[in-house]
Amino acid sequence: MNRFIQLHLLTSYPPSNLNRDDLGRPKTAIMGGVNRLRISSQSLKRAWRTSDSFKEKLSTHIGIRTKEMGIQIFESLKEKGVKDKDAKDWAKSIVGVFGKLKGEKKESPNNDLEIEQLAHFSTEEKTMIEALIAKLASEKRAPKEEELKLLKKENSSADIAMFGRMLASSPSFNKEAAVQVAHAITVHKVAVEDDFFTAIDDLNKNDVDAGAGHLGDTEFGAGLFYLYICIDRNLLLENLNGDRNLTNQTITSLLEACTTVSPTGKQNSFASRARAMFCLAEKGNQQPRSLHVSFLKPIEDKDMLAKSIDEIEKMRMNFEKVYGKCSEGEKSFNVLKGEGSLESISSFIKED
Amino acid sequence: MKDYLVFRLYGPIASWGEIAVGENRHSFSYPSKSAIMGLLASALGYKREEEEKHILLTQSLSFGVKVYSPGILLRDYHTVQVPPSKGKIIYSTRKDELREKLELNTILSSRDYRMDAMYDVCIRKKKQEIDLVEIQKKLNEPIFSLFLGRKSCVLSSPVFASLVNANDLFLAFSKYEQNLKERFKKENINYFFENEKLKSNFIEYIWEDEGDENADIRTRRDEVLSRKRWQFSERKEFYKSEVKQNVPIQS
Repeated sequence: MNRFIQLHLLTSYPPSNLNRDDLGRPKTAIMGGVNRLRISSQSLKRAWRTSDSFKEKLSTHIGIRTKEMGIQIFESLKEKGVKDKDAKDWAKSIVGVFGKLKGEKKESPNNDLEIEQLAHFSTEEKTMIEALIAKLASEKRAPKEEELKLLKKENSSADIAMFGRMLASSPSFNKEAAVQVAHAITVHKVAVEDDFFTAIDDLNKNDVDAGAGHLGDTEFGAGLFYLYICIDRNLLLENLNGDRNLTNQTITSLLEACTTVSPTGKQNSFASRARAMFCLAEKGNQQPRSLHVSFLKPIEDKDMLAKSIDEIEKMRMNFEKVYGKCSEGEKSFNVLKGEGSLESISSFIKED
Repeated sequence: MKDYLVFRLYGPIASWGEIAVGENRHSFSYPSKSAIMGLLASALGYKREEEEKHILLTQSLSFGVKVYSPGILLRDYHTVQVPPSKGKIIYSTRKDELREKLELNTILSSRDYRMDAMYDVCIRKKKQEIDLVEIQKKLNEPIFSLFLGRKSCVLSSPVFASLVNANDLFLAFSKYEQNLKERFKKENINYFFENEKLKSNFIEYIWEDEGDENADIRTRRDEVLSRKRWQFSERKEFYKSEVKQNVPIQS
């Protein structure tokens, strides 16, 4: 098995302000001594994790979404011979792990068993809840705190398996991220530009005051971004409790998200949605390394995209010449030339 | 003659955590001993909770760093949206967490990085039970992915871990670089590490163990006592810098 999957992407964003600092300016970084635009790792990950495409792609593994799980647990406990009052208390403490419970209501007696918002129960969580119900009914006792915690511990959520979790309050829920996402930076030098704008007051007839209703300025930049992602397949598999199918599915959904989903920042003002123009995937056990050095000297060529693709490919070869093999195999798509496809990379990075 | 294991750390941005509590997460200008031991542990596949292994590693190795370029400071304004903590609720996905938009709070976190930094690291063993050859192998084919202080700070060149036999660590560093340069030359490939921006006017060395009367002595609290409890003890290290070019020092 190839432990590491590395993805190198080139995505071109038109004027945009996708990721801003405390002054509202697009984030920047210096590489090779020149200023470049930057989209932070955390911004990219948020966009992917909360995107609809991500959820849909992984949906076969998404269990059910309901407010009424508490009622089901309550009924099931009663069926197994637990007294009404106990059944209600226990059901409330179990389902309380998943969301805030509604208040009591005279006209609907089971109202306080419902969660205020829809909660998502994974297949594993459902199985564990069922097991816990059976255990409580046969031992005739309330659930213990550790048992309640366990309900969510082994959740096979692809999201957290990929990007990790750190809870200072309960470290036993921590998960080591299996996916590294570098900050995306432009392959060329960029100066952030200012857009001075005014808004006209439509009802102002210019008879008293001919001025604008509002003045402001927006900062923006455009650029061709290089993004690098490294997936530790073994760790991902471990985080997903050894589920190979889910691991493959997670990897391919990540590929799809990172090549098609843009950060949402200022999209209404700039509509800067873009897809990756070039993607190179490598797999192997060798020490992963990004190909940022291809752009250490900023690209100045007029045909920037073609030149950048050349530089990436050249640098990959040069690395191999100097250091020896850096991966076991690679595959790419190139939209500029119409070569390769997402599909083919997707099947390439799935477990062989 | 002593055996050293030398390797290179280069990536566009790096972040070497200092003592930090709360909002501001500063970065030191070179990797600390704990950062390097963590990197080696990652390569060897030690998990965070395997405390004895981490301690053995730390106690068995001494380290040295050669700073080619300490990098330029990048202060990243970072916000995190978090749901209010509601008793026992544990969210299973980020999307889940962000569902109740009106209830979200924002945490500020200012994170420091170093841009265009480059270092060579050398390690030497103090105890017999550690095998430098094994560490070399694992650095070049690691178990967990390696990074420069933060997971988003990726490595942008092979670490090229090599065993070097030399009289002292300064010679070990220069032998290593010479060897690397020759490999580039042999293939007729531009030695991109010579890029002006990856060099500073002076080279700094930080190391432990091999005393030197010309060196400054610094104290740092980064010897791992317990990773679980996040405890570190004080450690002495030596510091020396040499001016490389006769040019005015840039601010």
